[in-house]
Amino acid sequence: MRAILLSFALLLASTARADEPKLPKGSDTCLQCHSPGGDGPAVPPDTFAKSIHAQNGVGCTDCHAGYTEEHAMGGTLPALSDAEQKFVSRLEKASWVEGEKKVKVASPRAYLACQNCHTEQTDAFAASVHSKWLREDAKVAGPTCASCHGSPHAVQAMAFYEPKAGARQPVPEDRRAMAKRCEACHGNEEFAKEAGLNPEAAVTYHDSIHGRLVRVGNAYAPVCVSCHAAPANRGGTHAIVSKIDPNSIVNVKNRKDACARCHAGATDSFASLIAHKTPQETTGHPVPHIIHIVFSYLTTLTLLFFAFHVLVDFIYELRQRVKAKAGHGPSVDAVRSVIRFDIHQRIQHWFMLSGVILLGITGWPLRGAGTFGNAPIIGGRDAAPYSEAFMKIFGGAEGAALWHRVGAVLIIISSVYHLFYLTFLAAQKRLPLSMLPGPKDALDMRDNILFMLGVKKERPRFDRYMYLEKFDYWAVFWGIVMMVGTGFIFWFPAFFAAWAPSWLITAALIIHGEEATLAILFLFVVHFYNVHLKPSIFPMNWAWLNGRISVEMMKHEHPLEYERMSDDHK
Amino acid sequence: MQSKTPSLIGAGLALALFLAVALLPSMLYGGYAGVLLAGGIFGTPLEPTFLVRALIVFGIVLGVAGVGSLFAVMGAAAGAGVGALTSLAARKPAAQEASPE
Repeated sequence: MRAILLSFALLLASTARADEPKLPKGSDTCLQCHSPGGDGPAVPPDTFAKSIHAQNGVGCTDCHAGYTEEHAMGGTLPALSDAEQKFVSRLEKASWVEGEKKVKVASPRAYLACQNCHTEQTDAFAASVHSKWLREDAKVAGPTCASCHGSPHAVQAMAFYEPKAGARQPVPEDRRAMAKRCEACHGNEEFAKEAGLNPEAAVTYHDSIHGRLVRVGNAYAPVCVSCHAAPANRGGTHAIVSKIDPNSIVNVKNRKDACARCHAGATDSFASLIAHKTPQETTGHPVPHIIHIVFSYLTTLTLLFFAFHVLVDFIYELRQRVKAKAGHGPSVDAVRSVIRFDIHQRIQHWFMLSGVILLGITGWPLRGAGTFGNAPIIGGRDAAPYSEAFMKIFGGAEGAALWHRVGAVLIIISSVYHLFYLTFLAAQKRLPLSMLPGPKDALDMRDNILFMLGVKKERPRFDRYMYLEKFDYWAVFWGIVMMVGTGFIFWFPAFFAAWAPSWLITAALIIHGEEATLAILFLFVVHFYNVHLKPSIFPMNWAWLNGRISVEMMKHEHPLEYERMSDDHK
Repeated sequence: MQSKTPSLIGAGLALALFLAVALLPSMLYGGYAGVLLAGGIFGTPLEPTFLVRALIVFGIVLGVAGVGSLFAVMGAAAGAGVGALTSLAARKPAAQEASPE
């Protein structure tokens, strides 16, 4: 037995040794001086040994051509041609940011060697917009191989990545890491302005639907190279050219092909929706602009008014509580109850409330995951990590998206049920018109606010539905049309973009977000306060579950209806 | 649903949970809603004027109130549910004890 164990141990030990990264032949001589703490520029041996270069036997002098042991003592390097010298002189100016650190090219001559092994890639790069600064004089130095791939002493093999519609492929981790390298230049406002690039490119990407999905951890959402890389057979990422170049995949004539990498059937109209601009600016059409402004005012003014209403009501309720005499037990009317909502109404409301809560808690973490930029008060902060953590409850960003659709189906079921219910009541000639708003509601609202403020002595007498309940009801009608209508567009974006103008899709995007803000804040703050959280009701009004309210509450909240019911019973 | 106590305990626990895990994100989400609304009303890029700041603070307050309300209401409902189940469980053994063998 011992012999068998010993054999296994020896076998495992030899395997472990075989897996240990080895330095290429001759590199150990260089590393005598170039290890950390040595005389020359340091290359960590372990990191280098694990690099794809070392693993393929690419030694120091394969790139640092002409270097011998004497170079430290003043030995000369082989002469370069004029073209090579020009290339090296330009490379010397290159610098980029890695993490927080600014990095410069330490050994520009070594970059001449890249083409020896990576001919296809360097040829594609040589014709790309990224190497323009190496071909001609430019205001700023552009990227080198290391700007995107990191140090040649640590570089790893890239994972296979070629997104195709219908064959969903997660974006590999190395491409996500590379996006940060893209941003080191394209997200640097100062550099971008100097280079004549769009300084907002990174911010608008992060605030776009793609950027938000990436920020909340969606593995399939696209990063920079997903859209901007040329087709693999034409050089891929190395062959990125300016978007005004007719060969560019993001040129206005070709960009639908970039979209079609993930969205089968993408059209020009669909492709025009993503343009590194805010949604209202994307299409250049005035309608999204107008909708953005109108909805911003509508949401703000509605929320301001109802926040004021809640505040006034809360102060009134507290005053009433202080005034109330202690020592009284619950009255008979507080115990007796009447049916206010029948089973159909309650089922409709159950579907609606579960759908809306589900939509809110799966949708807002995505909406709130944009960048805050330099905005006052919250600028520089980031809600995306919270969103990502919260979405894990639903199985991550993909799971949350699925649950969001489940929420949409629930509110659609509720709406359809309600329409059937109304039709049924109308056929039976029992359709109540008590929910229709009238001039009395406006007067009631004014008088109720004045009453709560202590200006009026008497509270207005409400019928079956008071103005707040009517607002809730009709706001849901409005909200369903807005949210479901626009939500369907995002459910099937390529389908709708195939026939609808792009400004309509953009307008839908704006409406969905703005209406979500209004609906969620109104429901969770105003509706929840009015029906559950006001001090006289807290912690809960159970009418949503059993359909009943106390007689006392009915007398107080709906005196006209109570009197009518009492008269009917006489 | 006769006793308010389980709902109150549920709401209280949920609000404590809200303060522990959801206060900061709700401030950020609400603040972001304020930033978006201010962008529509005052235009972008946002200047740090009094009204813009006020709208962002308003958004933060609504964000906190909204998420806090959601926690409270769901906590109250959950508390009532647990209360109903425990009272049901407590009633069963009592009923069994009372019934003759």
